[in-house]
Amino acid sequence: MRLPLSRLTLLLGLGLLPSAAAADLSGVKTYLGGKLDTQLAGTRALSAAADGYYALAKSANFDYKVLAKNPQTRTALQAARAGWSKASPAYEDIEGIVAGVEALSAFDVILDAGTSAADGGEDVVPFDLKLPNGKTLAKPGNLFGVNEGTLWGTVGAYSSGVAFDVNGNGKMDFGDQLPDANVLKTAAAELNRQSLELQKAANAWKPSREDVFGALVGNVPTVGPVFFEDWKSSPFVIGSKSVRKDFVVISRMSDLSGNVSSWRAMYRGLSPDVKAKNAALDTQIQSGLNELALYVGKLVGREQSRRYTPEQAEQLQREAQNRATVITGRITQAAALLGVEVE
Amino acid sequence: MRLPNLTVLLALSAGFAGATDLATPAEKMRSSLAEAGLEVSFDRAEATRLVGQAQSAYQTVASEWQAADPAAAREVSAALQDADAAAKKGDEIALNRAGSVAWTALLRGAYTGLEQSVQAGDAPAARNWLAAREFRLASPLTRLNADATGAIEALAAGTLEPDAALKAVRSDVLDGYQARMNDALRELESSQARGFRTLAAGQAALAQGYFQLLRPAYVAQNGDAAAAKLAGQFTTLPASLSTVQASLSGFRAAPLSERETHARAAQVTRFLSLVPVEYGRGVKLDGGRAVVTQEVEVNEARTFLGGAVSALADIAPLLSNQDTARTLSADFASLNASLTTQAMKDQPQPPAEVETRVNALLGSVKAAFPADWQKADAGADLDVVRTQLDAVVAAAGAGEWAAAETARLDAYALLESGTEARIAVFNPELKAHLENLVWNGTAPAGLATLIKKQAPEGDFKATRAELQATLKDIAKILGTEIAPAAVATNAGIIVFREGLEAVLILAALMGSLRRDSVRHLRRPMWLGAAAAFGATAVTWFVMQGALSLLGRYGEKLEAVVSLVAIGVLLLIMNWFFHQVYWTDRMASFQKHKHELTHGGGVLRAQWWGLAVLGFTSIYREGFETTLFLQSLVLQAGAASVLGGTAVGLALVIGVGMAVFKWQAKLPMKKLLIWTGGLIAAVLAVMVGNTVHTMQLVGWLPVHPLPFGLPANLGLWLGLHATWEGVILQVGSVAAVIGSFFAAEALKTRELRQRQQGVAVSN
Repeated sequence: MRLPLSRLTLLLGLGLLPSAAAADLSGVKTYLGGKLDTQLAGTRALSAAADGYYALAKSANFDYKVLAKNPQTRTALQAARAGWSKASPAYEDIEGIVAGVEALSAFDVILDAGTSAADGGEDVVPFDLKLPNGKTLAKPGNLFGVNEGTLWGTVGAYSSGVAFDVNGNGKMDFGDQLPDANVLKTAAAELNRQSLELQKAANAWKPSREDVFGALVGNVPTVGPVFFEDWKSSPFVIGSKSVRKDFVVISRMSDLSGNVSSWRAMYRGLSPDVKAKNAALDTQIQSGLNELALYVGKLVGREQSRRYTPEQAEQLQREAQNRATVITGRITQAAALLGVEVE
Repeated sequence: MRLPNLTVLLALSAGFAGATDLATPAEKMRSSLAEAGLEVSFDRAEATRLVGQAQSAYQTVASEWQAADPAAAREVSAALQDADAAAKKGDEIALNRAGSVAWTALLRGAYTGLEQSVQAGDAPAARNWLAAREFRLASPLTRLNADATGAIEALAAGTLEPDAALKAVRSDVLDGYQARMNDALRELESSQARGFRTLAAGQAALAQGYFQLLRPAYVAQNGDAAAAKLAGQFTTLPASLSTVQASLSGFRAAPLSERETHARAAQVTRFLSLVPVEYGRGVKLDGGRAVVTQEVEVNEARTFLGGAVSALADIAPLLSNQDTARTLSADFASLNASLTTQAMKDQPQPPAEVETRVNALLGSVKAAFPADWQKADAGADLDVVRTQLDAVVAAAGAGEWAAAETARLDAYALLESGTEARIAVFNPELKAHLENLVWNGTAPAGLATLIKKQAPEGDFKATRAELQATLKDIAKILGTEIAPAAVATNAGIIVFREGLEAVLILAALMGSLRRDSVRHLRRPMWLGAAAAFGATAVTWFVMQGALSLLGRYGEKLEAVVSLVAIGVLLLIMNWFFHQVYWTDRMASFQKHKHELTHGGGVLRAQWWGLAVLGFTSIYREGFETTLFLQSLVLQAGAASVLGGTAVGLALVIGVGMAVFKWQAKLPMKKLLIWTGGLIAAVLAVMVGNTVHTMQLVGWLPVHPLPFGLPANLGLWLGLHATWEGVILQVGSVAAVIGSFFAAEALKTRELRQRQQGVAVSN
C-alpha cells in the first residue's frame, strides 16, 4: 500500500499537541548575506584590477610583449587573482542555497554551474559577453569559470599567448601568462554585476521550509555525480595526467566543503522543527552532515600529500555518495513527518 | 487536565526523545569500514584503527541485533573480525569484502527487527529499526520516498493495521534493497571490465548480502530450491554474474502496485513516442548528413528516452515472456546509446532513422505489454507536461522564444488531449485556471502572453510555480480511481453540454419554419448538420493515434468555427425575422415582388446560409467533443464512454424535440417571440464562450471584471469574468432584439404603405 504524503500530513496533523511554531529560517538568510558580502568584495576587487589591467594593455596598444615589461602589470594581475580567489570560495559556501532555491537557481548557472554553448547540455549559460574590441563571446560558460580560465590561461582563446611570471617568484609556474585584457575586463565586470543581482534577489527571497527542504534534497545528492566526478579527473587527484581546464585553481573538494557548510546552515534553520517531531532523526541528520564535512575536510587536507589511482578515486566517490544518500534519506523522512512536500 | 495525561501528551509532543538511536552506530560502522577499505593501501595502522571504530560502534547496539536476529548478529561480528585481520595484514580486497558482508548482515538484522516490530504493532520499536535502513542510492534527479515512515506513523496513530503497515514497509524498504542489489551487480560488471579488483570484491559481497536479505521474498515467488540454487550462484561471483542475472530476471522483491505498473507502462509508450518529435526538431539534414541544430531539443529527446528506459526497467521483470523483456530492454539500451552526447558528437542519426527505430520499438512494446497496461494513463501525461513546462522556462531563459512556444503548445496539446477531459466537468474551475495559466490569463500572466512579451525569466518562473500547484491538484483528481459509471457520466455531460447550443438553435429555427411555404428551408439545415456529423466522424478517425499532435490546434479551430457560426447565425436571424414576416403575413404579394426584384439569388444565399449554420453549429463543438471522448476511451475503454455518449445524445435530442414540438403548438406571434428569445440566449452563450476561446489563444485582449465568477457559469452560460465577454454578449443580444424590432418596424411600414397604396388606388 502506498500512503500518500497528503494522508501522512493529515495523520501527523492529528497530533495531540500543536506542532512547533514555523521554523525560523532567518539564520539561513543571514548566512547567505554574509557570504555574499565577501563574494562581492572579491568580485569588486577583481573587476577593478581587470579594468586597471585593461588600461595598461590599452596604453601598450595591446602589445602584450610591451605590457609584460610594465611593472604595474604584475600588481594588477595579482590583485585580480586575489579578488577571484576571495569571491569563488565565498560563493561555493552558498552555492548549495543558490542552486537549490527556485528564486535564485538561475544565478548558479550563470555564476558557477552553467556550461558553454560549445559544451551544450541542459545548463548552457543564457548570456553572451560583448568585448570592448567589438568581439562577442557567445554563451561562453559560467562566469567564475571564464574568469578562472582567463586568469590562469587554461583556455587558450582567452590568453594573449605571452608567458609572464605572475607571482614574481622567478619561475614559470602553472598559469603564468598574460590574459587577454578584453576578455578579462568584460568577464570580471559581468561577474561583479551578476553577483550584485544575486545579492538583490537574495535580499528579496523569503525562505520557506519547502524552499530549504527542497534545496537540501536536490543538492545533497550532487556530492558524487557533480563534485567527486569533477574532482577525480582534476590535478588534485591524478596530478599532471589531468587535462581539465576548470577546477584547477581551487579543488572541487574545497568547493564541496563550502557547499556542505551551506547545507549545514540551511539545516540549522529546520532543526528545531525536526527535533520537535523526532529528536533522534534530528541528531542523525546533524551527525550525517558533520560526518560528511569531516570526510571532505580530510580529503582536502590530504590533497597535497596523496594521489589516488582511478579505482581509489572511484571508491572515494561511491563512499561520498553513500554518505549523501544517508543524509538525503533522513531529510526526506523529516520533511514527510513535518508534512512538507518536497518537489 | 490531570497531570498523568499531561505527561503523556508532553512525551508525545516532544517527539521520540526516548527512542533508541540504532541508525547512528549502524552508519558509523558502515562508514568506518568503507574508509578503512581505502585507507589500508596508505596506512595500515589507521585502517586498523578505523575497523576498531566500526567494532566499537556496533558494540553499542549489538544486543539489539542479537535479540532481533541472532544469525545476522553473529555474521556481523564475524565479518568485523575478518575486517580487523585483513586491515592488520594490509589485505585490501579481503577488507572490502568483509566490510560489505558486515554491512549487509547488519541491514538484514535491522530489517528483521523492523518486520517483527511492525507485526507486533510496536510502532516506537519499528521507528528505531526503520531509521537504520538504507535507501536506494540518491541522485539529483530522483526523490527518495517516505512511504515506510508514513506507514509507521499511521500505525502509531492507530489508523493503519499492522498487516497494512507491513505491506507498505516491505514495498518501500525492499524496493530500496533490490535497487541496491541491482546496482552492485551492474557495478560489479563495470569494475570487472575496468580491472578494479578491490571494488569488484566489495560489490560481489554486497550483491550476495542484499540477496540474503531479499531471499524470503525470492523463496515466496520461486520456491526454496530455486533460492538455494541462486544463493549458490552468488557465492561464485563474479564468474557467475550472467547466471545470477538470468536467475533474477522476473523477480521483484516488492511488487509494484497495479497503479504503479500501469503508470510505468504508460510512461514507456508516452515518453518513447515523444523521442522522434523532439529529435526531429533538434536534428536536421544538411546535404544528406544529420547535424544538431538545437541542442535543447536533442536534450529533450534524451530526457524522454531516459524516462522510458527507466520505466521499462521497473516493469520488464513483470512481463510473462522474459526473452521478449530482454530483447526489448536491449533495443531500448541500443537506442539510448545512439543518443548519448558522445554518439551525437561522432555521428548523429538522421531524424527519419530515429523515427523508424522508435516506431519499431513502439510496435514491440505494443506486442509485449498486456492489454490492460496499454490503457492511457493521465499521470504519465502529467509527467510529460511538467517536463515540457520546464522546457518552456529553460527556453525562455535562453531567449529561444520559438522553442519556448513549441514546448508550450506541446504541453497544452497533451493537457487538452487527456487531462482536461477528466477535469472539464467535475472541476471546471481548475480547467479554467489551467487554461489561463497556459494561454493568456492575467494573474499570473499566462505562458502565451509571457512568450509574446518576451518577459523576464522570473515571470515565467512565477507562472510555472502556479502551474506546478495546479497540476498537483489535477494529479489528485486523476489519482483517484475512476469508476466506469463516472466515465460514462463524464462523457454524457460533455456530449449534452457541447450539443445543447447546436440543438437549441436548430430545433428553434426548424420549429419556426413550419409553414409549407418555408418548410423546404429545413432541408439545408439537416444537410449541414449531417455534414457536420460526417466531419466529426472523420475528425475522430484522423485523431486516433495523433491526439497530442492535433490537440494544439483545438482551441484555434474552435475559435474560427465559432466565429463563422456566430456570423451566420446573426445573418440567419435577420433573414429569419424578415422571412417569417414576409412569408406568413404578406405571403405571395411580397414574396413575388421580392423574387421579381432580387431574382433567386437571395433564396440561394439563404439556402447556403442555413446549411452553413447547420454545419458550424454542430462542428464547432465536434472537434473538442471528439478530443475529450477519445481521451476518455483511451483511459477507460469504449464501452462506458459510448454508453455515456448515447445517454448524452438522447438527452440533447430530447431537448431538441421538446423545443420543436412545443414551438409547433405556439401561435405564430408567440412563436416568433419565443424563437427570438431562445436564439438570443443561445447566441449569448455562444458569444461568451467564443470570446473566452479567442482570449485564450490571444486573439482578443483580456480586461478582467472587478469580481470573479464561478467557473460553472462559464461552462453552462458562457459567462466569463472579462469586460470583452460581457460587452459582446450584451451586444449579441441587442443585435437579435434589434433585428426583431427592425423586422417589426419594416412590417409596420410596409403595411402602412400598403394601406396607403390601397387608399390611393381607391
